[in-house]
Amino acid sequence: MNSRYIKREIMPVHECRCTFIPPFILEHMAREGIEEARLTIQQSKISRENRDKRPEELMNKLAGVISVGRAYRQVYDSQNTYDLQKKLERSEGDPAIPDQVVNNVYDYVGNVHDYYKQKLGRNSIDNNGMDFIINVHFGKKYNNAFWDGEQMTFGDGDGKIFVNFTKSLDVIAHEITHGVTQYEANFVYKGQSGALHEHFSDVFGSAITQYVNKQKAEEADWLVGDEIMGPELYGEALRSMKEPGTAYDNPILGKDPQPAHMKDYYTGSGDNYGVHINSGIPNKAFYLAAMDIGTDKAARIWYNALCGPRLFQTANFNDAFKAIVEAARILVKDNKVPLGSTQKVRAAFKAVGLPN
Amino acid sequence: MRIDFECSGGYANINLVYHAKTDDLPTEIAKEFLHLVESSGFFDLQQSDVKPTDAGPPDVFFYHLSLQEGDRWKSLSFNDVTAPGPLRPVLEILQKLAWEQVRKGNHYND
Repeated sequence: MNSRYIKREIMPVHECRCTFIPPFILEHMAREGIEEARLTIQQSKISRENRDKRPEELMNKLAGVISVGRAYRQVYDSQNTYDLQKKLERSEGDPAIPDQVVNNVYDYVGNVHDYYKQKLGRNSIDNNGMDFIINVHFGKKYNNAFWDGEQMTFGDGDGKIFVNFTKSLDVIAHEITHGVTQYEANFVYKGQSGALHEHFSDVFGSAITQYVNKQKAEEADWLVGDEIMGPELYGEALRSMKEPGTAYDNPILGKDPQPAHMKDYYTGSGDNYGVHINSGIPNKAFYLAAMDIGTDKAARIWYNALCGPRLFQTANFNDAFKAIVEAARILVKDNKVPLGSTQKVRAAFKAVGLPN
Repeated sequence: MRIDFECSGGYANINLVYHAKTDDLPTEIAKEFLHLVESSGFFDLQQSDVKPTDAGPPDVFFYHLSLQEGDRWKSLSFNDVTAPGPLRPVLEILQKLAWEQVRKGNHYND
């Protein structure tokens, strides 16, 4: 059941679906390469998207008028409460204000939007100019940032373990990419599909950071979250795409649990059955591919796979492997990535034990 | 009052666990905690009021809180988007106590 109330209520990212053929049967058929099943999944996805639109949006679409959003940034200050969209501090085009947290997130969101638009041709989170709604100073010493289905929210950190979560471009790009994923494959946030949700966010967190910093793959540190570590953990990071499992090891956070290969796959129930843990495996594959063909080209392949018809809500790592390799093949055919990229992507996945 | 608290997930994938009895806490902290629990209406909440509707959304914290005092006992699981506002001060003090315990050498995911 879905319910809405002003400001605090969040629409679940997965709506109720009623189908005659159970989704798991269609997905199994798609995995077996039955093209009709794959097309059915894609067409059903489009139908549900249209069903969820407001009537006037559908009427406009039928009339040939497609309303496109403005991709405006709106930065709200939660004022250390748990309210969202509490006090609008800076809208699109407004000058900088004394609060540097607001200014940082405004600039970084602009960087992310520019990357998606200029490098990948994507108009904002929904590819239709959706505004960027951002909440800062959420809660009291809140050690986190999240995407709730409609907007991003960032805490200030406790100043000891973590500093302000808006300090890092890769955090902001990570959360925005959760939104992009929601509008594309919309992975279920659990198990391998959930790990793919996290994986794509780390991919674009890293790719966008490298792009803005004008770094090549071999110059980047491939660390996630290193810029938000507080004084007690300065020098550590939260994840390493280059060497999953080595980002941190200290008495406060423990040891980085990420595996770098399927042989070390986490099978426990913690972390929604390992969404932030097993993401290390495809993260390593992306790193290897990027080192071979360049981060920009690898990111283009991964993006096309995410937006293509071969990834769906319950996709697993093998499905992602197939989708990404196929995306590479088509981009090679279209002269968008160099010849040999398909094989290099395949080799990157083989190095982490995929497919299995 | 017996406290069993877990805070997990989030962007950093933390795994914070805290078990304590208010009798073992400093008097002022115990007093503050008990006051916050009563103010929150915790024992009147139902799991259906706070149950997450989905495995996500991405990167939210997930909380599990069990409190037991005499014959009053309640155990609830919720996340950052379903946590009731009045419960937030309880979560804040519990996270603070949990991190302090970690710093004293009790590893946080034991």
